[in-house]
Amino acid sequence: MGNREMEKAMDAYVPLELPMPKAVAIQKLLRRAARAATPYIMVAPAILTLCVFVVYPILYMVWLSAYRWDMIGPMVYVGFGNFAELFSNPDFYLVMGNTFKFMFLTVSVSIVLALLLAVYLKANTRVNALLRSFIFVPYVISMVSVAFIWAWLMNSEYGLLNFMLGKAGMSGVRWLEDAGVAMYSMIIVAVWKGLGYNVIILVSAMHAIPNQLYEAAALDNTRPLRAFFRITLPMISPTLFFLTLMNIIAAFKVFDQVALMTGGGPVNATNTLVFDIYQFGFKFYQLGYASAQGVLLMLLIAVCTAAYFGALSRRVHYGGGA
Amino acid sequence: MTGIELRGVEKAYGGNQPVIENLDLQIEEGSFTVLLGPSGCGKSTILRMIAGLEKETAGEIFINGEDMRGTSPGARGIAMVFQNYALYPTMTVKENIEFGLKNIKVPKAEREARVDEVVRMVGLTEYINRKPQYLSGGQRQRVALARAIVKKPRVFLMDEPLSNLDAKLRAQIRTDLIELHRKLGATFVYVTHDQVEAMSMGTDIVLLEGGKIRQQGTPQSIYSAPRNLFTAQFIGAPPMNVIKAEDLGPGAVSIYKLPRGTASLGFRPEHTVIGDGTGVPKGVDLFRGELVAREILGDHAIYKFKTDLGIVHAKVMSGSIVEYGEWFVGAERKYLYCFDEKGDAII
Repeated sequence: MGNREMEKAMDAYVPLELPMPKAVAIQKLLRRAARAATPYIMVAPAILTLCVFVVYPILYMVWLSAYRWDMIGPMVYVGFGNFAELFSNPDFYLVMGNTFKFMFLTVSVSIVLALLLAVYLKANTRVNALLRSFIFVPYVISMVSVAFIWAWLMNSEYGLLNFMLGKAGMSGVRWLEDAGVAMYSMIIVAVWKGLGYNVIILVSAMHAIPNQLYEAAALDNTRPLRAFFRITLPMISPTLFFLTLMNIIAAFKVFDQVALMTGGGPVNATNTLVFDIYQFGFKFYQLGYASAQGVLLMLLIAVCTAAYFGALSRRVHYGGGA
Repeated sequence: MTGIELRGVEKAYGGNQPVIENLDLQIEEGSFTVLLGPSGCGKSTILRMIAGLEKETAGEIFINGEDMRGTSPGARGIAMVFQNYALYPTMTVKENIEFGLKNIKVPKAEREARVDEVVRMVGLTEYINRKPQYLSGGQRQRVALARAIVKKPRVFLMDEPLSNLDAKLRAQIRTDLIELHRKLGATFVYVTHDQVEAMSMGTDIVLLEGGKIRQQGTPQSIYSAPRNLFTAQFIGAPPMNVIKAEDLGPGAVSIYKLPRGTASLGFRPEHTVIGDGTGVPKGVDLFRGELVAREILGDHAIYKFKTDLGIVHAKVMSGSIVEYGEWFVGAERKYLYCFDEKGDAII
């Protein structure tokens, strides 16, 4: 310890603090405040839009669901009356059944089919590139055109489908007029329209899998089917998970297709929740009742999403290749 | 015929000029053969053709005397370790290792025993239920090794398996691999661009350039008897000093009594003699050089001299540290290597 003096000097060392002029201090404070506020200012437009077009309508809907109102007359407070009416209406259960049937079949058929097609179409050949864009086309076409084209194709008297069935010696199907068939016809159209999008997303997810994994698998004597289930599927699981969720939500909200192709008929066979809401709200002018349905739809989607997350998110692999 | 043999192998991508043409290569059974060369020399392609991951456009590949044409990668009795490990990210360490065994339906009891043994061998017992993303680079590397070992292959193929590791770990795994090779007695084919890896681990080095074998032999023979300039300059760190004969002045070949046809001369940095211009030892030719850089590495030092004849490196194992300034450098006659115009060694 030969330099005790130096240590002493170091102990005595106190950084010099100059008194700050007031103006500089205020300026500094303002600058700090501006820096703190910057992120909030940046997100303000988005938040504002969200409030006006999403949060406010939702709150308004919830509020409206407690009233009876025909848009013209006075609003009558009924509490949970609309919900009580809703649950005692047998048509409501039919509509809910239709909605679930449409959602479940459309999503499962579309996702499974998209997976199969993606496995086939992921190889980068010229033909596949062409096929990939062909299959994407229906997604780009407006639902109005799709609905009219398919309504025409499915027309039981002069539609192309029945014409071809007839040529093949089979009797025609009343695609959109038979209450037992109409919902399946709707599902066919929905799958046809959404398939291309699902395929493209899945193909790109598959392209992100390092090829070395398949080489390692080949060296490990992995059969193709096993490679699909043990490598491809787990590797695309985040994409698949998200895509399925988006599909489910979209299917719950189906409206335009129903409105344009069947109007919910025949005898409510293709009536789904959102179309029902529209009918009650803007055709029968029962705003409160429609709002109650809307609240229910919102809860339904929330519960389904939560259940879906709870059931599957632990099996999803996040965190890239290694 | 055991080991691996390539006969007249050619590889071309699409309609392009072949990257490998008419290649004959013999890999001894039980050897640790290193395919060494600069990037783009075709070493990885050769390895991948042996593995069956890439198809040769012509020629034949034999493993233990069997023609491998039409044999799938999994049926070749080989295992491969990839540069990026290629572990299955969604599987745990254990699942990664046993995947290949499950695929060929090895009974559970045997499978467990084999996995257990291998996991202990590479020291991964406590990580067995982790996924690769939660392992360090060195640990992933060991999983990749374990996945190969567990299959008990006759041939291990390794494609630059150490290049993603830091220097210290690399040195450690190098000795691990040497031990492993001795323990298993299997054939190792190892691809690298790092001559240190090749020299330290290989029992046999195949030096490649532009899809052609420039020299094949033991590390000692490749080091001490390079058959061409490429080999001489690729092996050794720093590389061999090379001087053009014409830079020594007109008629240098006869004046210095060099072999006929000598176009360039080489000597290893460890044979560089450094003198201060007085008392030149017999049989040493010295020329003026300026010391421009020095690396003191503890047990030895590396000096870089700028001379009229080009850069000359010296590697000095002991003695006092050479100061910056003007010096004379050269080499003893007996340590000179002579090369002709085509770069082939004159013996």
